[in-house]
Amino acid sequence: MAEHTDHHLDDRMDDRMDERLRTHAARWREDLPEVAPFSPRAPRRAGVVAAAAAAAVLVVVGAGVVLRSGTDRADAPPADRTSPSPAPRVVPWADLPPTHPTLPTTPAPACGPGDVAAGRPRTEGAAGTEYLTVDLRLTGDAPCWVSQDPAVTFLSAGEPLDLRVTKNQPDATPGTRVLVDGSHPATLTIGWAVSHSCPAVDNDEIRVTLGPNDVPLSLPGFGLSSCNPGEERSLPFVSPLQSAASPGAGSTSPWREVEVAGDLDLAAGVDEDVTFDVTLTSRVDLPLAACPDYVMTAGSHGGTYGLNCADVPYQDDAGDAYLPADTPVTFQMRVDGFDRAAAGKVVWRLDVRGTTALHGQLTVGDVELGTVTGTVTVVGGPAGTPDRVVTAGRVTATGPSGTDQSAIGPDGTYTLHLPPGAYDLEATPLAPLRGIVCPDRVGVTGGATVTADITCSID
Amino acid sequence: MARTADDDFAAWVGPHLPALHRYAARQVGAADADDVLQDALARAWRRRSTYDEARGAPLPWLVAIVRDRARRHRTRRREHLSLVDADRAVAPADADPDLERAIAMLPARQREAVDLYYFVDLDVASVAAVMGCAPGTVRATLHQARTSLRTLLGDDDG
Repeated sequence: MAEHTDHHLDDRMDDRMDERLRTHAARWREDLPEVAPFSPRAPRRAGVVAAAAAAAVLVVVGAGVVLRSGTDRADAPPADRTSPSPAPRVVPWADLPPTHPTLPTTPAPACGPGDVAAGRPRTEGAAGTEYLTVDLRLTGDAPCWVSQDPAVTFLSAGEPLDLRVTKNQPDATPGTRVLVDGSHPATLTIGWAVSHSCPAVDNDEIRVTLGPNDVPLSLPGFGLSSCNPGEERSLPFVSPLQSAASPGAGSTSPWREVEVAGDLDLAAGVDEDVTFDVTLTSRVDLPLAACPDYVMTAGSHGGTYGLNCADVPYQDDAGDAYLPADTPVTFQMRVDGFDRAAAGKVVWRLDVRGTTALHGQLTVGDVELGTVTGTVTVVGGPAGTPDRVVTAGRVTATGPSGTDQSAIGPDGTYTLHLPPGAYDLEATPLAPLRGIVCPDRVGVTGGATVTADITCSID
Repeated sequence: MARTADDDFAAWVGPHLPALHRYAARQVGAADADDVLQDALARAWRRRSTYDEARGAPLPWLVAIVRDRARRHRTRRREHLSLVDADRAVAPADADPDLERAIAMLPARQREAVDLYYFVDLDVASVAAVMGCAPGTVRATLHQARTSLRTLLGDDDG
């Protein structure tokens, strides 16, 4: 009886929230201006093809006349409310073996002047060396590549200085391509022991030229260097450009244009089959002749399987399935019941190597996750160097449920949610401390938070 | 006068303009909705040859384009303005600001369902078509959203 009463109470409160939403939304719609009569100068971006923009202007103006002639909203065209389209069917799950496909790629052009711009430079000191790091971001719509080894010149009052800039990794292959796309900037790091360089030299600008098309960039200099008695001139150095977008590749993949959505943070009981939906939306028509695999892992369990591309309801002229541009396609996914030995965190990943990371996770079994949080700090270096936090990188935990990772935030902190057990932690900072690995170990208890501050020691 | 491809496109997209405009306003705020809508229509016009009528009504396709252009608009705005308020400036002065703040805190899929059903004023079947799921999933998502909103607003005590 009490449960029955609770249901009625819940229904009443749900109705009240429904009414509150309807009332607020109705006011919001009333206060919303009507679709404006667009003028030909309305497009603000030069990139819009003139003919297309003009056509769109015509379209909207024409439609605006229709709307304004029916100022009573009840007279507005009812198509949205009364002509629903049938919901597209969900692509059913099928137990398919992996195909390990070679997914299509398209060569990207080399970046030209104006395709890439420098973001806000960041400075950081470590072991007596000052590092200037800057993200080179794509400003155009299409991905492009630059050579990994830029030319760098220091200037003072516009005049080049006689200051040789060395390469931090002389073994790096010259001309290696680094792809820059809308989601992945290339990162440039320039270092200099600026406090230990004799004679002192002033510099107010660093000029960077990105190959192969000589893309010019201008960065602030390090300022006046310091010279202590007995010290010799130290030379600035530049690291190879780094990018998370297919390092070393000068090509792009249409899978970069795919967005994934779905409520993947699910929970399930031991031995319980779980189904969930994953919706893929591509911004371009994407052939599925090469169908990607997906991976499910729970600790040491799991495997690679084939996505059910054959049942995608859209086919091209050749009869091959494809993801139509801007159209969500939902795939049903299924996890056969994991036994208690595998209970924990299941990681799901669509295997499109080197491209968009599509992944999710669900918790199987009555497992309560614990939280590990802490700060990654660097200690050591020349005498007097204070301890400082690591501002970029990742922390990897390896334990009974497999591996999990967390990014290190700008304040040096990280957080992981893990099934109970003992884990090896490993902090791997990015530039300027790239290459340093900082280990630690932690025990995780379900429902509890444990602090694990990780220290990176350098000479 | 001869009927042109532009006329056909206008007739095709016209019935959906009010909904698309409301959706753009929910995504980027009323002030920027016109720009985003025009950008989306230009893109739809360029890509109209790729639309397959076998997919059903065009609204889900058009909404997806508005969503994409709104996302790009927000990205550009973040890049160009350092002090942009991330809140969507959609609430009129006499509206329910607590409710708007709570809606902004909903998980993305719940917020999308609330925006499409209550604010854009689509029916459940159309929301399902836009979100690429079954109508029952939309109803469940809306119920979850209302429950979340009650919790966020402290209305759980009845």
